Amino acid sequence: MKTLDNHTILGIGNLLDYPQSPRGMWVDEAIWGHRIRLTSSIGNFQFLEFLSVVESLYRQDPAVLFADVSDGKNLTYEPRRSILLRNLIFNNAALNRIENRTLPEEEKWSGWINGFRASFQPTDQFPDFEYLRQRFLGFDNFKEHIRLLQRLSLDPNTSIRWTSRFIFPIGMDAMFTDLGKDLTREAINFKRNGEIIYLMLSRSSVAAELRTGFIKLLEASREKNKLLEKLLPEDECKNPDIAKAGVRNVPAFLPYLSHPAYDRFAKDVLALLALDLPDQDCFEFLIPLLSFHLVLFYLETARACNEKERLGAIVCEIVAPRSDQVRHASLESFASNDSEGVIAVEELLKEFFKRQEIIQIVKAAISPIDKVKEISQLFNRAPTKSWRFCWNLDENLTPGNSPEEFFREFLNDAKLEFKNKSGEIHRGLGKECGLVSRRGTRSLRYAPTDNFLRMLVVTRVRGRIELNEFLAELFDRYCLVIGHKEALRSPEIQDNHKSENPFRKNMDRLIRRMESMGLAKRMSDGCTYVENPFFEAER
Amino acid sequence: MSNRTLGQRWIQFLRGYTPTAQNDSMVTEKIGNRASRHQVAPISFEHPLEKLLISLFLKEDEGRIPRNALKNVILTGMAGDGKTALCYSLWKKLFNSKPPRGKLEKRDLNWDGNHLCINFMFDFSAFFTPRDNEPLPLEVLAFLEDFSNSVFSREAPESVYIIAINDGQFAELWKRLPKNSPANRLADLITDLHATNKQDSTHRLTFFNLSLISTRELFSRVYEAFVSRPEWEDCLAHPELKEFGSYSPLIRNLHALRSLPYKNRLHDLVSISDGCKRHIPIRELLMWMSNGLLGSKNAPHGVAGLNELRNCLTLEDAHRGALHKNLIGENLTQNQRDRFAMFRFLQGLKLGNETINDLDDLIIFGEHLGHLRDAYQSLVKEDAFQQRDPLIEHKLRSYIQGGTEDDTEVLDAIASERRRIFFSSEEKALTKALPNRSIWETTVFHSAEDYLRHLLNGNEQDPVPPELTRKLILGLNRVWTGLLAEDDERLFLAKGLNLSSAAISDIFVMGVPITDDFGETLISVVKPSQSILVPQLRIIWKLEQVPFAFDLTLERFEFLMRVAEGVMPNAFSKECWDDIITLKTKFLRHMQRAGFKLARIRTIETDSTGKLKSLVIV
Repeated sequence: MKTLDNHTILGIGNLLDYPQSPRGMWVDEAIWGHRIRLTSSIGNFQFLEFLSVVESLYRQDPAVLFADVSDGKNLTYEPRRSILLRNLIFNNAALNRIENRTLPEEEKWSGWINGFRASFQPTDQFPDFEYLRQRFLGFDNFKEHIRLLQRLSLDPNTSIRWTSRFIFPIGMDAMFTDLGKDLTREAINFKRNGEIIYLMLSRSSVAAELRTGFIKLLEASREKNKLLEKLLPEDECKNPDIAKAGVRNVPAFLPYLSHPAYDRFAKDVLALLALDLPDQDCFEFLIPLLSFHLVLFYLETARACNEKERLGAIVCEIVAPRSDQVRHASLESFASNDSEGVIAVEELLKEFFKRQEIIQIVKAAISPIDKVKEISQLFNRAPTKSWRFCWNLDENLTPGNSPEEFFREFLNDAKLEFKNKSGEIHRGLGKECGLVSRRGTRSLRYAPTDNFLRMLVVTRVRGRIELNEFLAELFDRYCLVIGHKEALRSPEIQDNHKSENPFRKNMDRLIRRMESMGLAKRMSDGCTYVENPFFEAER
Repeated sequence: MSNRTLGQRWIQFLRGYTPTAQNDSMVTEKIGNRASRHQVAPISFEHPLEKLLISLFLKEDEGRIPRNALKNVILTGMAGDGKTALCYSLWKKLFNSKPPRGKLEKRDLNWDGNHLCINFMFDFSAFFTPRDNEPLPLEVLAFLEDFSNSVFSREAPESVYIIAINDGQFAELWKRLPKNSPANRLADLITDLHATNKQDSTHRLTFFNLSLISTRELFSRVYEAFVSRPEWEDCLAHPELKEFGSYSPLIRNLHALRSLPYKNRLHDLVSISDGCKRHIPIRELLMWMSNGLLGSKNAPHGVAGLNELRNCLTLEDAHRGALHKNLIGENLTQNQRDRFAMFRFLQGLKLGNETINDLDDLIIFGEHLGHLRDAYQSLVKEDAFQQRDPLIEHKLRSYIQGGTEDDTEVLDAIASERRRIFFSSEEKALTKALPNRSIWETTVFHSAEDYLRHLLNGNEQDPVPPELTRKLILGLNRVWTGLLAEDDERLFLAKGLNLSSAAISDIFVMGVPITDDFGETLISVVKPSQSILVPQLRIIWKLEQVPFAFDLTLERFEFLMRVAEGVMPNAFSKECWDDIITLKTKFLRHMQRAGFKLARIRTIETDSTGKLKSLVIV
């Protein structure tokens, strides 16, 4: 490849092999990993998946947490299945039926057990629930306990099947994995985003500190975990119910050994953990933070492929009543960032088609059809660091009648796949974390929500910082543009959108919003302090 | 110029304080020129900090403070807070001479037999205004380092500094300091004093943040200085001049401004700006007063000069420049209003845009309905300052008779009428006409009257009525638990099983009664004092632990009051809710840091009467 061989991110020394031969095309996986995908409520799902990885490795041996994959090894872990708990919480219609009837205590229990047996899965492993009767004061007490946990259900109104439903992870027993129909692991909702997140954090320079932080977090959850343990037989408390991998489970893959996004991400997570928030309050900020950093990783990688340095300007409009230059700049910067991905796919592939091996075949004195066959054989393999892109097809299905047609088909298919896969990361996860929105416009742009702003302040501000300094840091770290000074520093913003006044007003709106959220203290027109309400200096 | 009366010259001078293009009177350094041009004295009064500032250098008997006890002084605040004016006052007192015009002045003098150099920096921005990434000039760095030496030196100082600087400049300055400069220590000290609202340090530095002085205190001085100017008497003595004649809005406005109802209402408004933590600088208060008197919708820049005043010959002309309209900036354009904190605050108040049925009944039907007639006479028809819209009755009639399809004009007129009544009515007349309602219900802050009467005004020691505290607790209980609780004797702290900020928080953490078994108050409202700017709610959650306290701004007070009255918390903006919920998380963290641990998991729910009850789970 032309200039990228020595690139800090895309250089061959920074790339990794993938152990399996994937089915179909392997292009955007080679660029952004296998895989970051989107589904509804992905923010919650990827967070739960990440936690299930962390919990299972911690259970295996706390010392391996964030240390097992740092050198490029594959991630293997055994998440919880917790089938009994999930039956009790999500597959327990019998409880509703008993609840509405006035019966003697004994009949309530037996009626519920009989009803529950009918829906329980797996049908052949229905446990003896005698232990529950001993632990609860009465059936009503048991019922209240289950109701309390049901209220923790994430997305309680969705009609998703019960093996894919989750409760807020109050304790380790609630950090279980997504299951398919046959009660084995499945990648329908757990798309591997959580695994990718784990890989990114493990390959950062602060993995050891993260280990300490997450161990503390898991230990702190023991108190609330008692609520879950009360429902489980003793032997399951000691030997958790583990989910087996399904037939189609393939390992997650993050192509780069090191990446500027890893450290940026990990340090933010660390800053959040260092706040020592009560119980699991940090999850509130961690959930959008994960999505935000996946977006940054995606954008920075795409730009690197297009031979651009760092991130491009992310112009944030603090929603204004009327359209102004900031809105135009924001719409433009969104559109420009959004197109980086597809350009990356196109550029990299075009460059790849010029490889020595391919050119030799193109120039060989054989028929065009044979050329296509030989080229497609070249692509029919497991990806390695020296041959990143693959297209595993059936032998009879070679597209095109000439190398040019083959390349065209390859490129079209790759772009199409990108559109439905990684192409969604920027807007989808951007919306999920609260950075991207359509509020007040027909097109998407960067218009951060209050929760997003709160997350930024909580993660980035240690105590107190002057607003201009805060904005400068957001720019240097994430390329977020809010104030006029940063707008002037961004080469991506067109000159006619750079006037000072609209950006000053944008900053003013930011101050007002942060002030009412208790995140800022305006001392005067010229001086505002941004304050992290949760930070307290070590005593 | 010379054949103009004193009143005429005064009006021309006063225009300099209004939001016109030539508002030079707003800048201390330029005011002298205007004053001498119009041969009137500038508006002046003693700044609340003046005595304190002078006492740092001179004793009461004007003797000098010993050299070793001298302190350096920083005067900071918003533009227009009076930094430079305070420097000038000190200069006059120390040297008994007119202050010089330069930015930095040094005076070497003999102080108790020793040499002392006093450095005055009248305006730091004239000395150095940072641009882009321009580094700190050596001259500025040297100045800061010398200043730093004087602050931290244990010896009696050879130089002291009095520096006026905008607080926005600090960060820009500190950012440019070289890492190894000794002035970094000064930067840390100043940032800390500034952000924690402290005045005194253990070092040789006194830090005055003029933005922390209550607007109410500033306003009472501005008001007195303004209305008691002798030039007004000259205006009143010349009714034969059309500008001061019977249709002159200026004269009508002056009478209104000097009246007790207006005076009280204006003081109330600036008080609630304090309660909302909006500081208004002196310059804007002067602008507010001048614009109130001289504002006129059709005049250039919205402010009348002598010519425009002379052309006021009808009732409509007089009404166009009415005080109640000018006070909220109706005479100005939106862009003009946006430039001033005062108008931004007043716009947020939506004065007159909110409504009370009883008041609207009076305005619209009062004249025609027998049982309303008395109240109508005293509140609406009684127009002591002749500022009622002369066309309002016509507008109302055609509205009632359905003669017009466009409601905007009449609705605007009614809103303006509400404002006139708000400003100009005597308290007694209001109570009589609207026995069950507060006139503050014509603003977004329906509870402002309680807030003003019980939390801001009155003696610091006067207790806040217990029913008000109970109502606050009821509001807090409802927001913090997310349940429609009826408990107002005890504060319930609860969190969600998932997040402590959960909308429905049903895991019981702690209950704090208003008074404990021994009658000791555990939850109280602390009124503002020297050290705290707005009232605070203080909760002693455990004896011998640091109590948890938070600022009870008017916004928070209003939100909690309305929730206590039965409004759903999410009927307000999410910011209000978030703000109160953040307080809960801070409270929980405060307790956690003090070693509090939840012993068991108990849920709470409301019983049939709305009282909270608890159930042990684990």
